Amino acid sequence: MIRWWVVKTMIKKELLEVVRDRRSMFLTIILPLLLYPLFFLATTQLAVTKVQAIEAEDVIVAVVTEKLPQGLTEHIAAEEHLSLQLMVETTAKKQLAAGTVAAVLALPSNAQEVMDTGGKVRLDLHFDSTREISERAKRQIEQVIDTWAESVVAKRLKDNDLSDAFVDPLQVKSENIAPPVKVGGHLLGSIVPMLVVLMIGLGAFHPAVEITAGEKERGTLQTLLTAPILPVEIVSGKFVGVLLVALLAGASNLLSIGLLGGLAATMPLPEEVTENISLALSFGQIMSLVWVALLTALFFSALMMTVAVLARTYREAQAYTTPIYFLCVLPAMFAQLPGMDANGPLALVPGIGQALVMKAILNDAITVDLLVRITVATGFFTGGILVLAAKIFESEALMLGEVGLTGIVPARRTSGGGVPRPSDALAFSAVVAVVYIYLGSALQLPGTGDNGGDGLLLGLTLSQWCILGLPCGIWLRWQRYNLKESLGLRRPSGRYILSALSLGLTAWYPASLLASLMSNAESEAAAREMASQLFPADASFAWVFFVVAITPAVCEEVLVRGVILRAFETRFRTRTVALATGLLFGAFHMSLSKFIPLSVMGVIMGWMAIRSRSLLPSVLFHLLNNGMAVVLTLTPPDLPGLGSDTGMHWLPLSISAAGIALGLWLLYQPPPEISSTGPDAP
Amino acid sequence: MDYPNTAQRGTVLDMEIEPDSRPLALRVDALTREFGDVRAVDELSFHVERGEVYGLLGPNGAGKTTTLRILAGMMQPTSGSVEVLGTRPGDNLIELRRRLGYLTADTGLYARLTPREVLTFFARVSGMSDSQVSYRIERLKDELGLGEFIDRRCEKLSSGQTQRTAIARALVHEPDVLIVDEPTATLDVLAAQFILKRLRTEADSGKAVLLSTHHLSEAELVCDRIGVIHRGRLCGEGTVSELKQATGADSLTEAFLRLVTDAPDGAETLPVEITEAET
Repeated sequence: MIRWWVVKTMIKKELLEVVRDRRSMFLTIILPLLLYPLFFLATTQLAVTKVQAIEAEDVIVAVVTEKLPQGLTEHIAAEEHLSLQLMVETTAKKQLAAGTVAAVLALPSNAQEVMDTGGKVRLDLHFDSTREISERAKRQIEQVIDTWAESVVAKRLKDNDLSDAFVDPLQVKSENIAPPVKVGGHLLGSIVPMLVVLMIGLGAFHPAVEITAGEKERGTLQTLLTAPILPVEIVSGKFVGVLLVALLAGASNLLSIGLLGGLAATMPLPEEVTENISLALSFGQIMSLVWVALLTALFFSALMMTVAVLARTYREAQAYTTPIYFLCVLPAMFAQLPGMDANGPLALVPGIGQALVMKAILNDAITVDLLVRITVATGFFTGGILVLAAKIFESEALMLGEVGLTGIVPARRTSGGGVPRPSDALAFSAVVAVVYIYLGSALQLPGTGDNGGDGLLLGLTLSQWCILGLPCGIWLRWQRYNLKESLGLRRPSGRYILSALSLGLTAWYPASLLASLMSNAESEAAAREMASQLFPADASFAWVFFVVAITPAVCEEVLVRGVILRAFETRFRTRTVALATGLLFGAFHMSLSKFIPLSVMGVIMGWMAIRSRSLLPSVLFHLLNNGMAVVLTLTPPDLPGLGSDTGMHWLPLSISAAGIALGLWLLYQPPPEISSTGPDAP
Repeated sequence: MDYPNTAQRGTVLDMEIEPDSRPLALRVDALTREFGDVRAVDELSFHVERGEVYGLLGPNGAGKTTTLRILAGMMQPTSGSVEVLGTRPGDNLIELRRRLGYLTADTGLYARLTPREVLTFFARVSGMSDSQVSYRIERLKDELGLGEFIDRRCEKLSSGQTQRTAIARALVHEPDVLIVDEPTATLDVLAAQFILKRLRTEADSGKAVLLSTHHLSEAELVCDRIGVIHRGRLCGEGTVSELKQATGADSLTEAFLRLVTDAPDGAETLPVEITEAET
């Protein structure tokens, strides 16, 4: 078990070391404070000087015509630093290409006569958009031509006794109804999330490399490994050290940006800006932002540290972490694109997910469900990565710097038999969870068109079997574990089958009541959408039953009540195992409204697997529970308390209560063979 | 393995003990470790008792460091077993390391911390209370002469000061067993003498000291018994005089050369530094 006083001592040491590293401190904390104001000043100064220089330069515009129209010469006289020069077309274009003239204006020689007689003249303006001076000349000429044209129109209207309404019959006055706060939020939402992700990632980068690969290179890691500290304590201490520096770096960056914003706010702004934009954030928004920033820091600290640990030297660690950094930060930039929001599966991908949720917070489009989802997803990723890091710290070859990146692949066990250790099972499950979140989300993207539902059903089947179910078997076989022991593949006593039947046929009713109590309009709409995708009208009952009931009952049980539960059972007390696997099961479904009912079900299924020493009862329970959902959705009975009817109805409730009571009572009875149920069965 | 439970951590065994009845501190039994096709340690067996300095003498690459790392639980053996004070590394690694001090030439001190901070850190994670820590540091400061630099950052210390701090680090949690890997490799003669004397003192106070070295003179100076190791195998074991007697040699160098030459696929590859150590 992890000893927190050792972790505390580790954290203190790591922080002392990092804080005394002046170079890192300067780069991650002091530099940003200086950089933004300096950058802002330098760019504005440079821009102002450059613009002034361009405005002050005398330019020549070549005119290709035989006779300059009088109107043009009159209006051009008012322009400063601009003169016209008559040329033949070929010379003019050559000079434009050579840069000696800024633009070329070609117009017919009878332009003035046509204008005077009420006709229309075509002008050709050639310019070079890559030269600022040519751009400036174009703007100036266009302005001259506009005022010339306006004066001609005015004269024509006057000559014909017409008002300006004759040429301008419609007038548009547009008004922005978005409150200033919303406009400001939108503005902030387009830059702040990216900056936060960028800066926190950068903040984690230095300390992560420094206290892992740096320690290896300086030879202090070997000393640390001879001290009475567990790998998990070393990892925790180092992780918190990196996390604190990453948070400090993030805070320092945001402070600097904030100060700059404050500086900008003191400048006199046009009234239309102050009237329309407000950068004020509510307390809730600020707290949500801080929370998501913390999640970002958690993820980056774990990731950077774990990648850096694999390296033998400081340099090697930088080479590994740099691409990882960009891999996470670049998608965060995509989050700024219009139309990207936090409702799709992308919001579960670290980096981009946090940026999308921060954008939603600033746009005032955040929901509790979104916050929960990002928290759970980040929790899974961070936890998985940290378990991996602890495994790396257990690897002698990696720690003693004998192998580099390739050492991460676990070696095949030399001896067979037995059950995986909890840390091995967790590391395996972490990899599975990460692949499931990335690849599974992509596979389960609803298809378009008529077969959209089929696409989802197929995606669900593929991701469950190929990412969850089969890999468990392959891994156990490859690592030479005892498949029967590791999954609990044995015939259970009839009593547990009865318990599973009883619970599976009745537990769904209070569970769905509880879920509907926890849900709101939004999550209900999402559930309906999901249901219509899962149960398309044209799909056969057998196919839907296979995908929605059989598949998860087998695949999820094999992972949770098989691999994880049996591994935990070797080390922890029964109630801890049931509780931990139940909560894990609830969290894995990533929905706030379903978390409590699913966790409760998970705990019961865990208890069932422990008492029966078999996987089958919990598979049966799971299958019946999901199967009931399929049956009820495809052939809805007239049962109170379901769907839009949210009242309490005692008859069905008492029937299901009786069923649950019977199921639990059967579980609670002492197991048939007490001697072989483990040392601490309740 | 049995050893008296009366030997408390950090206490001095000051009774006169017959060599044969001295309690066992370290036991290495048929230890083998392979790295791919290379057999770094090959069926190695020896033991170290409390109160003695045991020298593991051999050229670079003989398998000394691998053996020490397995003893400290940093590496797993391919076959065979090791025990430290009756505990196998796989059984209770934390307790084993609490009673073990490990020192290398590569001192492994945190450059940006001061000796006092380094010592405090290692003492705290070994479970010592704050008052125990400060008392222990004060004593080590006097005994090892750390006074003038104890609050200076380790990166600013001379190599001698660094090595004194490193030995204090290995001793701060009052271990019963010291494992020392080439401690004098980067030191001048005076600093090396200081370290060796200190190891002798620790053994005399009842600790078991396992010293790995390729310097014959060092082994001769401080070791009670010597195990000559070459290509992962033990080629000879005993006191200096026993080794000389067994090989019929006049000096330890000669005895060493004969032992490794007689060893299977012997001394044709003997590194130059071994012969230089005595010349």
